[in-house]
Amino acid sequence: MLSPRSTGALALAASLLVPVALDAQETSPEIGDAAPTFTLPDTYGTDVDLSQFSGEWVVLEWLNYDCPYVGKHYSSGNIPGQQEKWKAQGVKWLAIVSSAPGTQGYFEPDVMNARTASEGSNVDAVLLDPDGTVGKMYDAQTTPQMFVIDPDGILRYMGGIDDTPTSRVEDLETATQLVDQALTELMAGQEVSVPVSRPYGCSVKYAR
Amino acid sequence: MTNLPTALPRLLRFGAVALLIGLPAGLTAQPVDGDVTPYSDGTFVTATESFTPGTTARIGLHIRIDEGWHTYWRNAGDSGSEALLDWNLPDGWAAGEFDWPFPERFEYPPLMSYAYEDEVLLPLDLQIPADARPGTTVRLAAKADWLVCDEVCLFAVDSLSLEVPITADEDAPSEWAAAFEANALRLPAQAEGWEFQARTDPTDEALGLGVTTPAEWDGSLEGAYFYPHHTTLIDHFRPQPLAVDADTAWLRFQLNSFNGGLPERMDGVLVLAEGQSFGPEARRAIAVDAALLEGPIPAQAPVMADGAEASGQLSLLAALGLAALGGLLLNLMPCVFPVLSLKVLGFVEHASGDRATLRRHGYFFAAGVILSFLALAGTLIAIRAAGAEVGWGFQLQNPAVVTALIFLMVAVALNFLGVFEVGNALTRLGAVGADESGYRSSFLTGVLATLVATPCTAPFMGAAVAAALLRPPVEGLVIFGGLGAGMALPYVLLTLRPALLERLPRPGRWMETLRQALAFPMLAVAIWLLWVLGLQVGMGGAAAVLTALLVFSLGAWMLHRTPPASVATASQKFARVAGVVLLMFSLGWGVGRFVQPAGGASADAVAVSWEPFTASIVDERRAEGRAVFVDFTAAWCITCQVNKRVALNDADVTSAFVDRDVALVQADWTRRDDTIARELEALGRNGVPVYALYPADPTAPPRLLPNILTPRIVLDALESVAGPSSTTVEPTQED
Repeated sequence: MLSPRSTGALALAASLLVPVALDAQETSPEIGDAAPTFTLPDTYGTDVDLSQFSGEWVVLEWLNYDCPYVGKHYSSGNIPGQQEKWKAQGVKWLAIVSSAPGTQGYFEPDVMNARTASEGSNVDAVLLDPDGTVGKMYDAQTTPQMFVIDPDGILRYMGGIDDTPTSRVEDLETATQLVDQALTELMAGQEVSVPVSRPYGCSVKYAR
Repeated sequence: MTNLPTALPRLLRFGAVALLIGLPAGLTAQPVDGDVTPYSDGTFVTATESFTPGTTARIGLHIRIDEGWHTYWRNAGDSGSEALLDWNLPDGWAAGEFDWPFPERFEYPPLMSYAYEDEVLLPLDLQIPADARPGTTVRLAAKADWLVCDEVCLFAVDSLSLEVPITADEDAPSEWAAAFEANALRLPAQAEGWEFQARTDPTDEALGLGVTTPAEWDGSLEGAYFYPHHTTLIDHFRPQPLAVDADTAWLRFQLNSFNGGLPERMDGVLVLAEGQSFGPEARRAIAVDAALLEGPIPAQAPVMADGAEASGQLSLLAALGLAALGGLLLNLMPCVFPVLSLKVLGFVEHASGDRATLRRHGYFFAAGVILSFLALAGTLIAIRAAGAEVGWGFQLQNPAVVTALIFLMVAVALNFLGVFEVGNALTRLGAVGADESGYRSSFLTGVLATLVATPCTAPFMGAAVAAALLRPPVEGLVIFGGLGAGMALPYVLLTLRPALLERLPRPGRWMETLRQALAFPMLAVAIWLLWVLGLQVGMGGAAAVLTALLVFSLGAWMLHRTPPASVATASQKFARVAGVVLLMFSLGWGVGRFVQPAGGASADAVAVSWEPFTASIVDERRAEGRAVFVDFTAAWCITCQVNKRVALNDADVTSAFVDRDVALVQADWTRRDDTIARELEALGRNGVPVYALYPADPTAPPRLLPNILTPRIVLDALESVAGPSSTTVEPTQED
């Protein structure tokens, strides 16, 4: 039907337009939407796929042990305490490290495991995301930064660990622990009163 | 400790030691040497040597920062946090909040920090109690927290104090007085005569800040940057493109993905580009605080918006040059080129060997061509002016216009590639005016040549036509003048040196090759326009237009592949008809989706009564405790008519108006009316349609509805004004 010439021309024209069509918009995670799925290796070399936790509550925590904000929440016992509390209720708590090799917070798996132990962490796994793919997929800006995913894989909370973006340990007394609040409300079948908050802390040390 | 190559082994060691002695390893975040303010030092400083009872003194936290490190502004951006003071003041003493000098931007893709480097002075007011006793000394003490970061961040926590004598007489300036003064110029200030509007466009999660500068300000907003106070309002990392709409420039932002609810106001600091300033003190930072209202945000063709080098716009001279080149190319169109030599040979004959006569023939011919092009430009500009009169903007802001241009560019490309042809009337050109001999005839020949060449050159001129419609009138005229000059140039040259005729390449296949090659720049333009469209209507809209283009191309191709009806077989006839149908359908579907359908004569059947607008009617009705809905409309405004039919006269909407006892006011702007114009101006608009809903509470600000209404939009707006305002949770404390 088509003469070779017009076929070629049309194909050319179409191929010129394809890059435009494929230039998909940058997406960011949305409360109420499915949480982006990913597969990342943990510090023991096992691949962990988010979808394997279908049917379970999942907390994602962006982690950099050398970030002083993370330090505030670990040395005070705030985050380890929450990990322990919610793990007892069957929640899977995954820490993700998106620090690029050579930047703060990046450690070889063995060192990371030693740190995880020494920090008193109770996470189920520390996942390694050295090229920052998953971090960028989740728009992770800071450490700590938190996400709560329900058993259907829907994102229910994203933002800070609490609502008081300071370095002071004493502020923990007055801060509202937003992840804890969201999980408590969700398990009680209630709406999350604060589903989105400002993530605060150190910047995620993405590869530059 | 944070030098990374060395940090790793040290951490290893430290981690091991920490494990051994059970030290909470979180402490490793602090420098090992015990410096409480790593890479920085903080001190309290005062602008005066002493304090006088009952006055307000200026003091500040001065932070000196090591090279390569920074500390944060009040909104730190995507990470980090601002400095805090925890005062321990004697009774009766009160310290205010920091005034924040404007920060700089530090990009860590995909993150952005708003911060200071080298040093920063954070000033604040201190109230000296009236009963402070002269002759004594006051000790100002506070715990200061700040964060110092380069790639990594460290906390700085220090107990700072300063002793200052109290004196009865005037306070002498301190050694820091000059620093306070210089620093004060970096603090945001109110800019007299500047107006700000903040908009939110929920459809594409965009925010906008409209800046209207006073007429006497002759600076430029190019490169201006808005630092918001709210920490999760705008996406800090994305650029802030600038678009100009009438007399207002709009900075556009993307909503921050961690926004937990829009604030009622957008406040922050607009910082002018380096070298720009306002006011007698030549400040760069303007305090911004504007009500955040729903409404569309003017956007501009991104090429100009992105114009970081300020060279985005072609200079007039460059435009002229390019247009002339385009005109020259017109001569190479397959249907024009063969005529060129014929025409010049005609002149040579007429001149009967007299070089001067020949030259003059050339000039007159050129004048004819150029003037015809200018006349064409004039017509287009007149059409545009008429269009603007009735509210049809030929602007790239309008998706329908962009889509029409995409179709035009693709049609031109298809034509160049030979998928279809437009008639070929130019062969007659050789004969036109052949038997007349005067210069007048040469001039007319130039005019006719332009006209007759149109079917063949029109596709190529599409871009120029678009330019004439989109650019300022002067540029339109210049571009068309240039096209004419370019097209006439070979004639003039050849009449100057007829010998060159022999050097012209022979017409042949190369012309067809050239024409096909020119299709690709056209497609490139189409891609650019499509990108513009994508920004305006999103990926879905752009994909729809691409689909329409495919159907359009198929239709054009089918039409051309089939012979004329007289000799066609039945199936060919069918294909032909189908081709036409596809063409019409794709155009209608592709372009029409963004065009407001023409509104028919109003046939209002629903019984709601609209009062005419007067200067005081809104206040009067609100005084009666009623909400007021004002429809700013005009007979020539097609969108207004559509909105009226689709939304305002919708049964649900009219009954909601009645149920809620909303006073309905119609401001008819068909003939421009000063009272209405002033009201529009107060709302930050300069045209119709505008739909404003004034809550019954006279202190509440009016709510602006989008320009394109649906019943849902109106009903929701009524709901929000009448019902309890739907509160959004603000999880973090903002100030």
